[in-house]
Amino acid sequence: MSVTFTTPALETERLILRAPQPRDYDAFVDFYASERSQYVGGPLVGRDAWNAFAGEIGHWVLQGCGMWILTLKGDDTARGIVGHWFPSNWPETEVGWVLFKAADEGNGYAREAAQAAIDHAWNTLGWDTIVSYIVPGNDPSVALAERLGAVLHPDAPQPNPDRPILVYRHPHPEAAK
Amino acid sequence: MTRALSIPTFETERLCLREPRATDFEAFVDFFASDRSRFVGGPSSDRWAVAKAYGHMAGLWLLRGYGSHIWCLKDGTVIGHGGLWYPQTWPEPEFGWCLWDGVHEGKGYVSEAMSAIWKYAFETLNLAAVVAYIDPQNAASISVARRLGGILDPDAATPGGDPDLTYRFTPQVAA
Repeated sequence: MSVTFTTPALETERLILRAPQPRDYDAFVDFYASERSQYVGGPLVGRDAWNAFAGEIGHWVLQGCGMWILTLKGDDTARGIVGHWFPSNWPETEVGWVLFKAADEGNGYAREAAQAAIDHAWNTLGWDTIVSYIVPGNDPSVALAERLGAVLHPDAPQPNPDRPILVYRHPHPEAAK
Repeated sequence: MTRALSIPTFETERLCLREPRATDFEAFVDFFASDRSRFVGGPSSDRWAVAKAYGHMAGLWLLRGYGSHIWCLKDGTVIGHGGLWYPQTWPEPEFGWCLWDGVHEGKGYVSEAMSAIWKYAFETLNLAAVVAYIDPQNAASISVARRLGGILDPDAATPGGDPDLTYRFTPQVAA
Protein backbone atom coordinates (compact mmCIF):
# COMPACT_ATOMS: atom_id res chain seq x y z
CA MET A 1 0.00 0.00 0.00
CA SER A 2 1.10 3.55 -0.51
CA VAL A 3 -0.23 7.07 -0.34
CA THR A 4 0.34 9.27 -3.37
CA PHE A 5 0.52 13.04 -3.27
CA THR A 6 0.12 14.95 -6.49
CA THR A 7 1.27 18.48 -7.13
CA PRO A 8 -0.56 20.25 -9.93
CA ALA A 9 1.22 22.68 -12.20
CA LEU A 10 -0.17 26.13 -12.98
CA GLU A 11 0.28 27.75 -16.35
CA THR A 12 0.09 31.50 -16.89
CA GLU A 13 0.72 33.59 -19.96
CA ARG A 14 4.52 33.34 -19.68
CA LEU A 15 5.16 30.97 -16.78
CA ILE A 16 4.88 27.40 -15.57
CA LEU A 17 4.62 26.92 -11.80
CA ARG A 18 5.53 23.33 -11.05
CA ALA A 19 6.37 20.99 -8.16
CA PRO A 20 9.79 21.36 -6.51
CA GLN A 21 12.14 18.58 -7.57
CA PRO A 22 15.56 17.46 -6.31
CA ARG A 23 17.15 19.06 -9.40
CA ASP A 24 16.06 22.50 -8.14
CA TYR A 25 18.15 22.16 -5.00
CA ASP A 26 21.24 23.99 -6.31
CA ALA A 27 19.29 27.06 -7.41
CA PHE A 28 17.52 27.12 -4.04
CA VAL A 29 20.81 26.80 -2.15
CA ASP A 30 22.51 29.52 -4.21
CA PHE A 31 19.64 31.88 -3.44
CA TYR A 32 19.67 31.08 0.28
CA ALA A 33 23.43 31.63 0.42
CA SER A 34 22.92 35.14 -0.97
CA GLU A 35 21.91 38.34 0.75
CA ARG A 36 18.74 38.32 -1.35
CA SER A 37 17.37 35.74 1.08
CA GLN A 38 17.60 38.07 4.08
CA TYR A 39 13.86 38.78 3.99
CA VAL A 40 12.76 35.14 3.80
CA GLY A 41 14.64 33.53 6.65
CA GLY A 42 18.14 33.58 5.14
CA PRO A 43 20.94 33.53 4.59
CA LEU A 44 21.03 29.77 5.19
CA VAL A 45 23.85 27.41 4.35
CA GLY A 46 24.62 23.71 4.67
CA ARG A 47 22.14 21.63 6.62
CA ASP A 48 19.92 24.66 7.30
CA ALA A 49 19.43 25.24 3.57
CA TRP A 50 18.82 21.52 3.00
CA ASN A 51 16.24 21.46 5.78
CA ALA A 52 14.49 24.48 4.30
CA PHE A 53 14.30 22.85 0.86
CA ALA A 54 13.01 19.62 2.36
CA GLY A 55 10.46 21.76 4.19
CA GLU A 56 9.22 23.21 0.89
CA ILE A 57 8.51 19.68 -0.34
CA GLY A 58 7.21 18.52 3.03
CA HIS A 59 4.65 21.32 2.99
CA TRP A 60 3.02 19.71 -0.05
CA VAL A 61 2.85 16.39 1.82
CA LEU A 62 1.50 17.86 5.04
CA GLN A 63 -0.86 20.55 3.74
CA GLY A 64 -1.75 19.42 0.23
CA CYS A 65 -0.54 22.71 -1.16
CA GLY A 66 2.73 24.59 -1.14
CA MET A 67 5.25 26.63 -3.02
CA TRP A 68 5.82 25.96 -6.72
CA ILE A 69 9.03 26.41 -8.61
CA LEU A 70 8.67 29.39 -10.94
CA THR A 71 9.89 28.65 -14.46
CA LEU A 72 9.46 30.29 -17.85
CA LYS A 73 7.58 28.46 -20.57
CA GLY A 74 10.09 26.51 -22.60
CA ASP A 75 12.86 26.87 -20.00
CA ASP A 76 12.68 24.65 -16.92
CA THR A 77 15.32 26.64 -15.01
CA ALA A 78 14.18 27.31 -11.43
CA ARG A 79 13.86 31.09 -11.09
CA GLY A 80 11.98 31.38 -7.84
CA ILE A 81 9.36 29.96 -5.51
CA VAL A 82 5.80 31.19 -5.48
CA GLY A 83 2.65 29.84 -3.94
CA HIS A 84 0.91 28.84 -0.75
CA TRP A 85 2.46 28.68 2.68
CA PHE A 86 0.64 27.48 5.75
CA PRO A 87 3.06 25.61 8.00
CA SER A 88 1.81 24.30 11.32
CA ASN A 89 2.94 27.39 13.22
CA TRP A 90 1.29 29.96 10.87
CA PRO A 91 -1.79 31.87 12.05
CA GLU A 92 -3.19 32.37 8.52
CA THR A 93 -2.92 31.10 5.00
CA GLU A 94 -0.26 32.95 3.06
CA VAL A 95 0.68 33.58 -0.55
CA GLY A 96 4.40 34.24 -0.95
CA TRP A 97 6.87 34.92 -3.72
CA VAL A 98 10.63 34.85 -4.22
CA LEU A 99 12.75 35.49 -7.30
CA PHE A 100 16.13 33.83 -6.87
CA LYS A 101 18.08 36.34 -8.96
CA ALA A 102 17.94 40.11 -9.38
CA ALA A 103 18.31 39.62 -13.13
CA ASP A 104 14.75 38.23 -13.24
CA GLU A 105 13.25 41.27 -11.53
CA GLY A 106 11.39 43.96 -13.40
CA ASN A 107 9.64 41.62 -15.83
CA GLY A 108 6.46 41.15 -13.83
CA TYR A 109 7.14 37.44 -13.30
CA ALA A 110 6.52 37.56 -9.55
CA ARG A 111 3.29 39.45 -10.06
CA GLU A 112 2.06 37.08 -12.76
CA ALA A 113 2.87 34.05 -10.59
CA ALA A 114 1.47 35.52 -7.38
CA GLN A 115 -1.78 36.46 -9.11
CA ALA A 116 -2.14 32.88 -10.34
CA ALA A 117 -1.48 31.60 -6.81
CA ILE A 118 -4.04 33.99 -5.35
CA ASP A 119 -6.67 32.95 -7.90
CA HIS A 120 -5.90 29.29 -7.17
CA ALA A 121 -6.27 29.88 -3.42
CA TRP A 122 -9.71 31.47 -3.77
CA ASN A 123 -11.08 29.29 -6.55
CA THR A 124 -9.48 25.87 -6.11
CA LEU A 125 -8.23 25.63 -2.54
CA GLY A 126 -11.25 27.53 -1.24
CA TRP A 127 -9.28 29.59 1.23
CA ASP A 128 -11.23 32.12 3.29
CA THR A 129 -8.37 34.56 3.77
CA ILE A 130 -4.99 35.29 2.20
CA VAL A 131 -2.19 37.30 3.73
CA SER A 132 1.39 37.97 2.71
CA TYR A 133 3.92 38.29 5.51
CA ILE A 134 6.68 40.75 4.58
CA VAL A 135 9.75 41.60 6.62
CA PRO A 136 10.03 45.38 7.16
CA GLY A 137 12.51 46.81 4.68
CA ASN A 138 11.57 44.46 1.83
CA ASP A 139 10.29 47.33 -0.27
CA PRO A 140 9.98 45.46 -3.58
CA SER A 141 7.66 42.92 -1.94
CA VAL A 142 5.62 45.65 -0.30
CA ALA A 143 5.21 47.28 -3.70
CA LEU A 144 4.13 44.00 -5.27
CA ALA A 145 1.65 43.29 -2.46
CA GLU A 146 0.10 46.69 -3.05
CA ARG A 147 -0.01 46.20 -6.83
CA LEU A 148 -1.85 42.94 -6.17
CA GLY A 149 -4.43 44.93 -4.20
CA ALA A 150 -3.35 43.81 -0.72
CA VAL A 151 -3.74 46.21 2.18
CA LEU A 152 -1.59 46.53 5.30
CA HIS A 153 -3.44 45.02 8.27
CA PRO A 154 -1.69 46.26 11.43
CA ASP A 155 -3.81 44.25 13.86
CA ALA A 156 -3.54 40.87 12.13
CA PRO A 157 -2.17 37.91 14.10
CA GLN A 158 1.60 37.62 13.83
CA PRO A 159 3.41 34.37 12.97
CA ASN A 160 6.11 35.21 15.50
CA PRO A 161 5.06 37.94 17.96
CA ASP A 162 8.68 38.31 19.08
CA ARG A 163 9.64 39.48 15.60
CA PRO A 164 6.78 41.58 14.20
CA ILE A 165 6.29 41.43 10.46
CA LEU A 166 4.14 43.41 8.01
CA VAL A 167 0.87 41.64 7.28
CA TYR A 168 -0.69 42.49 3.91
CA ARG A 169 -4.22 41.20 3.44
CA HIS A 170 -5.53 40.32 -0.01
CA PRO A 171 -9.16 41.31 -0.54
CA HIS A 172 -11.59 38.43 -0.98
CA PRO A 173 -13.11 38.49 -4.45
CA GLU A 174 -16.61 38.44 -2.94
CA ALA A 175 -15.85 41.73 -1.19
CA ALA A 176 -15.20 43.44 -4.51
CA LYS A 177 -18.68 42.66 -5.84
CA MET B 1 2.74 18.36 -15.62
CA THR B 2 1.28 17.09 -12.38
CA ARG B 3 4.00 15.48 -10.28
CA ALA B 4 3.40 12.66 -7.82
CA LEU B 5 5.15 11.53 -4.67
CA SER B 6 4.28 8.14 -3.20
CA ILE B 7 4.89 7.13 0.39
CA PRO B 8 4.49 3.42 1.15
CA THR B 9 2.42 2.44 4.17
CA PHE B 10 2.90 -0.73 6.20
CA GLU B 11 0.55 -2.76 8.36
CA THR B 12 2.10 -4.93 11.04
CA GLU B 13 0.31 -7.11 13.56
CA ARG B 14 -0.52 -4.20 15.87
CA LEU B 15 0.65 -1.09 14.02
CA CYS B 16 0.13 1.06 10.94
CA LEU B 17 3.15 2.95 9.61
CA ARG B 18 1.92 5.82 7.46
CA GLU B 19 2.81 9.19 5.96
CA PRO B 20 3.31 12.25 8.20
CA ARG B 21 0.18 14.40 8.38
CA ALA B 22 -0.39 17.97 9.53
CA THR B 23 -2.84 16.63 12.10
CA ASP B 24 0.02 14.81 13.88
CA PHE B 25 1.88 18.05 14.48
CA GLU B 26 0.59 18.90 17.97
CA ALA B 27 1.54 15.45 19.25
CA PHE B 28 4.97 15.91 17.69
CA VAL B 29 5.25 19.29 19.49
CA ASP B 30 4.39 17.60 22.79
CA PHE B 31 6.99 14.90 22.17
CA PHE B 32 9.65 17.48 21.35
CA ALA B 33 8.82 19.48 24.47
CA SER B 34 9.36 16.37 26.60
CA ASP B 35 12.56 14.90 27.90
CA ARG B 36 11.87 11.84 25.74
CA SER B 37 13.22 13.81 22.76
CA ARG B 38 16.67 14.21 24.38
CA PHE B 39 18.28 11.64 22.10
CA VAL B 40 16.91 13.14 18.87
CA GLY B 41 17.81 16.82 19.19
CA GLY B 42 15.32 17.91 21.87
CA PRO B 43 13.89 18.95 24.14
CA SER B 44 12.67 22.10 22.46
CA SER B 45 9.58 24.22 23.00
CA ASP B 46 10.36 26.39 19.96
CA ARG B 47 7.35 25.80 17.69
CA TRP B 48 9.19 27.41 14.78
CA ALA B 49 12.05 24.96 15.04
CA VAL B 50 9.73 22.01 15.59
CA ALA B 51 7.54 22.98 12.60
CA LYS B 52 10.66 23.13 10.43
CA ALA B 53 11.81 19.76 11.72
CA TYR B 54 8.42 18.23 10.93
CA GLY B 55 8.34 19.69 7.42
CA HIS B 56 11.86 18.40 6.82
CA MET B 57 10.84 14.92 7.89
CA ALA B 58 7.98 14.94 5.37
CA GLY B 59 10.11 16.39 2.57
CA LEU B 60 12.93 13.86 2.87
CA TRP B 61 10.67 11.38 1.10
CA LEU B 62 11.16 13.19 -2.20
CA LEU B 63 14.78 14.22 -1.73
CA ARG B 64 16.01 10.74 -0.78
CA GLY B 65 13.27 8.55 -2.18
CA TYR B 66 12.57 7.16 1.29
CA GLY B 67 11.99 8.53 4.75
CA SER B 68 10.29 8.16 8.10
CA HIS B 69 6.75 7.14 8.98
CA ILE B 70 4.31 8.10 11.67
CA TRP B 71 3.44 5.04 13.75
CA CYS B 72 -0.15 4.40 14.83
CA LEU B 73 -2.02 1.75 16.73
CA LYS B 74 -4.86 0.11 14.81
CA ASP B 75 -7.32 2.53 16.43
CA GLY B 76 -5.39 5.45 14.92
CA THR B 77 -3.60 6.54 18.10
CA VAL B 78 -0.22 8.01 17.14
CA ILE B 79 2.55 6.48 19.25
CA GLY B 80 5.73 7.66 17.56
CA HIS B 81 7.74 7.91 14.41
CA GLY B 82 10.62 6.19 12.75
CA GLY B 83 12.02 4.52 9.70
CA LEU B 84 14.77 5.65 7.40
CA TRP B 85 16.54 8.91 8.11
CA TYR B 86 19.14 10.47 5.86
CA PRO B 87 19.47 14.25 6.24
CA GLN B 88 22.19 16.11 4.39
CA THR B 89 24.83 15.98 7.12
CA TRP B 90 24.53 12.23 7.81
CA PRO B 91 27.39 10.03 6.61
CA GLU B 92 25.01 7.15 5.79
CA PRO B 93 21.30 6.34 5.82
CA GLU B 94 20.04 5.55 9.29
CA PHE B 95 17.32 3.55 11.00
CA GLY B 96 15.64 5.76 13.59
CA TRP B 97 12.79 5.22 16.04
CA CYS B 98 11.01 7.22 18.74
CA LEU B 99 8.07 6.41 20.96
CA TRP B 100 6.48 9.73 21.85
CA ASP B 101 5.04 8.66 25.21
CA GLY B 102 6.53 6.32 27.82
CA VAL B 103 3.23 4.48 28.24
CA HIS B 104 3.91 2.68 24.95
CA GLU B 105 7.31 1.33 26.00
CA GLY B 106 7.97 -2.29 26.89
CA LYS B 107 5.43 -3.72 24.44
CA GLY B 108 7.72 -4.50 21.54
CA TYR B 109 6.23 -1.85 19.29
CA VAL B 110 9.62 -0.54 18.17
CA SER B 111 10.90 -3.97 17.20
CA GLU B 112 7.64 -4.73 15.40
CA ALA B 113 7.75 -1.51 13.38
CA MET B 114 11.47 -1.67 12.64
CA SER B 115 11.22 -5.25 11.41
CA ALA B 116 8.89 -3.99 8.69
CA ILE B 117 11.25 -1.10 7.94
CA TRP B 118 14.21 -3.51 7.83
CA LYS B 119 12.45 -5.48 5.08
CA TYR B 120 11.60 -2.27 3.22
CA ALA B 121 15.22 -1.08 3.38
CA PHE B 122 16.88 -4.30 2.31
CA GLU B 123 14.25 -6.16 0.27
CA THR B 124 12.43 -3.29 -1.47
CA LEU B 125 14.96 -0.46 -1.63
CA ASN B 126 17.94 -2.87 -1.79
CA LEU B 127 20.13 -0.61 0.32
CA ALA B 128 23.60 -2.03 0.93
CA ALA B 129 23.84 -0.96 4.56
CA VAL B 130 22.02 1.16 7.11
CA VAL B 131 23.30 2.37 10.46
CA ALA B 132 21.80 3.58 13.72
CA TYR B 133 23.58 6.30 15.68
CA ILE B 134 22.76 5.80 19.35
CA ASP B 135 23.73 7.74 22.45
CA PRO B 136 25.76 5.43 24.72
CA GLN B 137 23.30 6.24 27.53
CA ASN B 138 20.29 5.10 25.50
CA ALA B 139 20.14 1.50 26.71
CA ALA B 140 16.63 0.87 25.34
CA SER B 141 17.65 1.77 21.78
CA ILE B 142 20.88 -0.22 22.01
CA SER B 143 18.85 -3.28 22.84
CA VAL B 144 16.48 -2.64 19.90
CA ALA B 145 19.47 -2.26 17.56
CA ARG B 146 20.92 -5.58 18.68
CA ARG B 147 17.62 -7.41 18.26
CA LEU B 148 17.35 -5.95 14.77
CA GLY B 149 20.68 -7.49 13.79
CA GLY B 150 22.83 -4.41 14.33
CA ILE B 151 26.55 -4.90 14.84
CA LEU B 152 28.64 -2.28 16.59
CA ASP B 153 30.95 -0.54 14.13
CA PRO B 154 33.60 1.32 16.13
CA ASP B 155 35.23 2.80 13.01
CA ALA B 156 32.14 4.41 11.46
CA ALA B 157 31.91 8.17 11.01
CA THR B 158 29.13 9.77 13.07
CA PRO B 159 27.12 12.90 12.26
CA GLY B 160 29.25 15.87 13.21
CA GLY B 161 31.71 13.55 14.93
CA ASP B 162 29.30 12.99 17.85
CA PRO B 163 30.42 10.33 20.32
CA ASP B 164 27.47 8.11 19.39
CA LEU B 165 27.65 4.37 19.03
CA THR B 166 27.16 3.24 15.45
CA TYR B 167 25.26 0.00 14.90
CA ARG B 168 25.48 -1.30 11.35
CA PHE B 169 22.76 -3.31 9.64
CA THR B 170 23.23 -5.29 6.45
CA PRO B 171 20.93 -7.60 4.50
CA GLN B 172 23.27 -10.47 5.38
CA VAL B 173 22.39 -10.25 9.10
CA ALA B 174 18.68 -10.86 9.36
CA ALA B 175 16.51 -8.94 11.79
